[in-house]
Amino acid sequence: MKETKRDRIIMLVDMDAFFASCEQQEKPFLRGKPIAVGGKNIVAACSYEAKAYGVKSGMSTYEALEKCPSLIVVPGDMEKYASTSREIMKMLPDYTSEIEVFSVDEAFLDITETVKFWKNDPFNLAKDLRKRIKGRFGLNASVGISYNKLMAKLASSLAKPNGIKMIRRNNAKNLLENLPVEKLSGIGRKLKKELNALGIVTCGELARFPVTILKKLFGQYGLLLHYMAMGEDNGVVEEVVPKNRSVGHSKTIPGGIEDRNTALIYLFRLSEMVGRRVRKAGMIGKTVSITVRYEDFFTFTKQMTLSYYIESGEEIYRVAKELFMEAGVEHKIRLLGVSLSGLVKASRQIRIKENEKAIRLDRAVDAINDRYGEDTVKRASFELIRVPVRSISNFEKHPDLEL
Amino acid sequence: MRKEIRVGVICDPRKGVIPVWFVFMGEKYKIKDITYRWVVRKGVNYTDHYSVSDGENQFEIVYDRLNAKWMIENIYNGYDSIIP
Repeated sequence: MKETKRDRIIMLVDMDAFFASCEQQEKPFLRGKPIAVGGKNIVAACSYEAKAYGVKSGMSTYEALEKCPSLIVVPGDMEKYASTSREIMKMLPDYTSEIEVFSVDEAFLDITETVKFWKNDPFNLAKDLRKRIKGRFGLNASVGISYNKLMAKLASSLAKPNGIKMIRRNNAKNLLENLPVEKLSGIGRKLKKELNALGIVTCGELARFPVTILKKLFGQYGLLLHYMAMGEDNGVVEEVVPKNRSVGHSKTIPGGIEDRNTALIYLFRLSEMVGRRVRKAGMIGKTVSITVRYEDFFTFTKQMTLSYYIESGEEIYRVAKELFMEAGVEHKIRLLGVSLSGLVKASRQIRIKENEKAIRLDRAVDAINDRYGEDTVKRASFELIRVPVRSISNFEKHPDLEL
Repeated sequence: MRKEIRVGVICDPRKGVIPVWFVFMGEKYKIKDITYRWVVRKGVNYTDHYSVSDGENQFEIVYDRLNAKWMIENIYNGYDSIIP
């Protein structure tokens, strides 16, 4: 008889309104009040009391105050949040050795092998962890439990605030059928819009949509979207390498630039440099960030975490470009930066078969450049084609485009 | 604000250092509640931050490990005091 493979049990611990809760815990007079953590311009995070008024992270402080005039804006203190995060993450090895710290306030745990110590009930384990976090820090955590990371992430978002939710494989299909696509991790506003334009509103519709068309429209990500809509995710819980957690490059642009295409050239070149360094280090990453600084030194960062790992400059650029276009940059740019984080060793990655060709191509280009010098062979992009040829061929020599 | 203060502590093998009172501007404050604590690293130095309450006011006191000094960092009289 063929042995059936047992599903893994993956848990996502996600702190509720983390930054705002830390502030409310530290300053008891803020508890129960609508507060936003941020500065004069942007709301970085907000409490559930503020969310009830329609305040959201990423909103301008002005807009947030319009929605909630009683909103209390508290300056953020990343050191404080990082310190609390470290202490919380230190608790996790008591539950399993397979831990992936996903962000400052989220971590995946593979509890397949250790759940037996909690009477084979993941709820018992989750309750114990939540109780310890509450007891030590006074903070609430929501927990999502499922058979893979994608579904655990979905479960945790459904469990919020302050709850535990489990999605079993046998009820996943029903749940996904009418679930809006944007509820899945990895489908942002822009992608949602594109899918909606195709008549795809729910995960059920996405799962039934022809894969060939999805691949044509979204490339490799199209195939992934298809699997995501069916609740499939082959990502494993793996420890993020603590050293060299991100690789990034930035460039100050003398005189600044206003033209979008020129900015995209910079992003493209920076992405290629990041990809090259990541591959040299034998790593792969899944979070792409861009940094944009205007002439008046106002700086912002946007990032996107993918549900799969990447290493090529082209893939990094694709995400960086999407982030840049989404940001709607309107002012003169003084500095641009691209980085890749969430790095793990490349050998531990379960690759998607169709990616192999692109990976082999990158390796071949790297080998040539290692032997004959940087940029002996380099990739072109559509953006590069649209600008004068001199800028493409003499990228390094062009005074404005030198990196 | 960073003013040096005298602090009485309990060194608990399980819970670590727990401040129980401090003297600030000649007045002794009994700590009734530690509402939060966190650690900040600056270069080689670590500072332990405690958000404490005497029942009426909220204070942030800091222990500078390298210089072995306690300081008062903030006094909060309500949320008006934290608006930038």
